[in-house]
Amino acid sequence: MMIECKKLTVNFGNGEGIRNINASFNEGEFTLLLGPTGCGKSTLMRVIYMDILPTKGHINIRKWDSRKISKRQILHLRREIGIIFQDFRLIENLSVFENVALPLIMTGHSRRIIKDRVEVILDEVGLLETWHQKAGSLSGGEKQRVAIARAIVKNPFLVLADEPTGNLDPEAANTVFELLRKINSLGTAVIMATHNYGLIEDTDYRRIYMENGSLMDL
Amino acid sequence: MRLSFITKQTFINLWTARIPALIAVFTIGISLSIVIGMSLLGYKAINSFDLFQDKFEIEVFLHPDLSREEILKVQNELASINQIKMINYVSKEEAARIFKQEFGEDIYEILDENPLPASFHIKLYKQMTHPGIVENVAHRIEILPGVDDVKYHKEILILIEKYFRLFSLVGTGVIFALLIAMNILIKNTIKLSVYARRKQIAILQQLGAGGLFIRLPYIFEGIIEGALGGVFAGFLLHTAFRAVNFSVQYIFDISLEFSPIIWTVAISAGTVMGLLSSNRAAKSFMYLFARDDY
Repeated sequence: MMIECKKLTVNFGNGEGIRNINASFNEGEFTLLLGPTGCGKSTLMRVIYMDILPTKGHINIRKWDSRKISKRQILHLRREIGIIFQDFRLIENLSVFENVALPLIMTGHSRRIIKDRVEVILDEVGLLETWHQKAGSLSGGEKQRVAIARAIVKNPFLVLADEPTGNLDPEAANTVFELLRKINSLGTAVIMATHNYGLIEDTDYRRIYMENGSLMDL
Repeated sequence: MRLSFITKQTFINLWTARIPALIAVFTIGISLSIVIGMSLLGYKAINSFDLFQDKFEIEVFLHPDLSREEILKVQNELASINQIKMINYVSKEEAARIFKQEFGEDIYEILDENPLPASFHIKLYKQMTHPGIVENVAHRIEILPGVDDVKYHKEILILIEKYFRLFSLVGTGVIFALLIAMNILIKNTIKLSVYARRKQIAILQQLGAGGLFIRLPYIFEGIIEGALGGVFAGFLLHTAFRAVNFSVQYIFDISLEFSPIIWTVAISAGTVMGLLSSNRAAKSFMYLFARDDY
């Protein structure tokens, strides 16, 4: 078991959050997190990368337990998870290369390793030609591919994608989804929150539906 | 790669917030030059006060008709006063010689006799040259049999003591105020930088970047601003020294020497100030602002 949630509750104090979630996610699995806006998908994602800690219950992610985890361990957890957001969250004044290289730079990898690894990943997402461009000058689809490249450059065991196609046109959305499928086919678990049902209708991935902060398997 | 990335980020930060950074450099420079200038003046004042204390003397004039034994008795009485460090006897003849040295005239040629009394020149221990203590010692000497008069520069002593204390108080106050002002200034510049890059900080935190990795560009920024402020302070002091020397050299026979150590002190002080202020500012603001945004 890669992730296990037990009575997981996050209470923001304004009625929003997630309530009493019991769920587990397996290694290498592609899980679709579905539900309307505000149902708690993003909150669950944030709990998984420990941006917020549970108010009640707990979550175990591999060796990390939300009840015992330290600030330093949270950083280590995040370094082993790839995160993709709807709004890309790239550093716009840095080049494509630098954005993708960031997770490797911050962990102190050598220039040679970084160059080799980033080139391979940029080639995989089809952006090798644009490596020198500023991230701010790219189209939405390209930005999301850079974000995917940044998420997978450190070989994560899990990729969290929070509405990754929300800001994209159908063609770009399809490219991004295909990339996530490819990543999953290579053994990385993917949890993708989306309400783009058209994009996923032909897939047989595990679907989890959320409503009002609660979760149900379909 | 990590260092080159952090260095690049530092210069991007400096360029993005170049106006506040320039203001910080100039203000640090001006404040540091005042702080160092005042410290130098303080150092000179302490030295001068020290010199004055070294030279300070009480003159004890004796009755003209004292015998050798009576003079010795006064000397013994003086020697028993704890505050006295040195006693020097000046005979009538020696007084006449000193008079000739100082005024160029022979007292015997002017008056046919020597009216100058014999005296003791007394030096006190340095820490005993405060007006209250000196007055107390002088009073004890005045009442000794055989002593005619006791003289010392009471007014100068009171004046120096008063102004030295005032200068120390004001100087220390101004130095502290300027140090606090510099700290606030660097802190505010870093706050602006951190605020301008709050999204970037939040992204780095989400990617798992450690606190130091995020903070270092801001710390380097503070160090650069502080060091440049130090260079500017050195330049200001150098100019001020030259200006002072130029304007006073025709009036007084003195000149201020600009030691290269002043450059080192100014740049080191600016750098340390920049390091401490920016580290504190980056630490306190990076979580605050990053939380606001994502």
